Amino acid sequence: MAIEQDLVNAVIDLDENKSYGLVKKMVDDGADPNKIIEILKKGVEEIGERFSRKEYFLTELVMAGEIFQQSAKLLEPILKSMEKASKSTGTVVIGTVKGDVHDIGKNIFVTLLQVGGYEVYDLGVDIEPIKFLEKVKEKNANIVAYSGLLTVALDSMKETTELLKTNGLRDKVKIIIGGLPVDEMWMKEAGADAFTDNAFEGVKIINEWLKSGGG
Amino acid sequence: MEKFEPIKEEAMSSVERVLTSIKLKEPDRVPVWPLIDYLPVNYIDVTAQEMIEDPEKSQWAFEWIYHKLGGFDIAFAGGSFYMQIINPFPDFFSIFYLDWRLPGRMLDVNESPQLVENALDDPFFKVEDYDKIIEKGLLWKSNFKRAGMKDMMKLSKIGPKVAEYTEKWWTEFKVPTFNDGACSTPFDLLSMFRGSTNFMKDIYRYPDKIKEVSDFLVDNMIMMGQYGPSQSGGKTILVGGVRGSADFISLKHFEDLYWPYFKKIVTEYVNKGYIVQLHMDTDWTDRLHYLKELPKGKIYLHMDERTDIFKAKEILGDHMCIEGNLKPSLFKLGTPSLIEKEVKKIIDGCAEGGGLMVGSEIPDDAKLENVKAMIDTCKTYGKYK
Repeated sequence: MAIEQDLVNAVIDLDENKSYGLVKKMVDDGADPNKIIEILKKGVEEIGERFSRKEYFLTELVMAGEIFQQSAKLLEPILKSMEKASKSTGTVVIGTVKGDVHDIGKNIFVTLLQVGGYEVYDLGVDIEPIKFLEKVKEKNANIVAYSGLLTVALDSMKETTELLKTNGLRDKVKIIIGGLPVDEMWMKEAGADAFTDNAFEGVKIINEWLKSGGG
Repeated sequence: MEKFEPIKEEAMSSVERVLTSIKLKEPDRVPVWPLIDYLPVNYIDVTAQEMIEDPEKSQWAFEWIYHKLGGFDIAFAGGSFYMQIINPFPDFFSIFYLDWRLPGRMLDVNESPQLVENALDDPFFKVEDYDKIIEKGLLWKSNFKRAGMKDMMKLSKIGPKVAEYTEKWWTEFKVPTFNDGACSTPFDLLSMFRGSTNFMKDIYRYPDKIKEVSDFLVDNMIMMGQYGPSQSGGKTILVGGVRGSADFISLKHFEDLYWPYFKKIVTEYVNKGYIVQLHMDTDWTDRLHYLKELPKGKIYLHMDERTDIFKAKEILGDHMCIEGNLKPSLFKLGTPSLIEKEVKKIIDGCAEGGGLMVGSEIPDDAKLENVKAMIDTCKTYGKYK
């Protein structure tokens, strides 16, 4: 048990080398990789709590995401050789909308969604509405996430929602918008279901949707 | 130009009003500053490209919006965007170092310019470049792919124009300009170079390297920030803070890697006689008290809605003029009565004793009646007895 707690603590302390060392040791000792992932998640979740309490900041989230991703890479060969990896929680199509290129928040949200077990399709920045539509169709996504900081992004968000509507997909997805300035006014204008300026909160909102059978 | 009524005379000129506020005294009324970039593009015959590259046309557009809105207290000089963006020195705005998408070049002539974060996987600036900067100096990193010699040559023609328009604002309209020059911290600059996500990992992996490069860069950056004023004769310098806020880094990182440099830059500009605007994007609420270490009564602090302006008044009221902080999207989505309410809230909480300006960055697709509502409320409700 001790090594598991050590790994949780190493993640929380953002100690990269110690985290990777412990992951490797656990692999050598024959631990179940899915279980190691769960332990890493526990560490990242605590970091999220500290972020919400303003004890940790964006830098710490980025580092937590890095440690999780690098650790997952160490586990990849073993996960692949196993029958099946854990089933994805949901499918998210995300992008910074047309006319806007801000993506710091989006990138961290993508990482946290991956930590949460979601299948994530990150379209990038300055994304045309049609690209969102195509990807939602192709991947049968149940969540769409728009990112944006500028007011021009708002028009693009609205346009994208309209396009999903005219293609009969609006009722099949839940839409969340994210960015520092987004608020209820933005959400209504964009025709979205939720808004957040906090990536951890965003993941929680999506978790709730899927738990209640939405999306 | 469209015929306008002359701007209504008030007890003080805008120059007097703004300077009085910076000195922490009560002027005739609360100064108001809509920070307008490309708004005229949506209303009159000027393109976003001309706002940057054509000094006459951009001055015409700035004068138009000034008159259309019945006058306000701080303005841009025509051509100054060019001076900032096509800046031969590595400052916060320079196209030779940062990935600017400009109208008429990579964007439609009417799209506002955008600054793109450096790529995650293949940043413009690699980890090993920290050492190269110290070895070769920063100019070594100039990138001529996005702009070239022709753009540089044009600077010598635009400089005198900006000087003429700066003078015109200060003496004819009696309105101070702002952002005649700009500087940011080495931390902000390196974050732009590396891309913020890469840089945040660097903060954990190579903090000593960041310090070493910052020590090397800071004096150069102070010098380079004076390039604009040296051309235009302007008196103001903007010092921008973004990546050092509570939306990005912890207080420990702020104290180690950010604040010493920020303090040095601002203090040196004040000592050289510049009016310094601190342009602080995102949330600085928990680090406002550090600003008390800066010279008193010589600076004004612009903040957006992420920073608590009422806390700023409480902490800095007797030390530094504060300016802000309506939420930009209100000017697109809101109504004049909503704006009026918000402005009154700021005036009620922060105007007492002077040292307050009301303002916001105005989105390029704002409604004019909303901007006018902010201005008019300051002119009526913002009067000091």
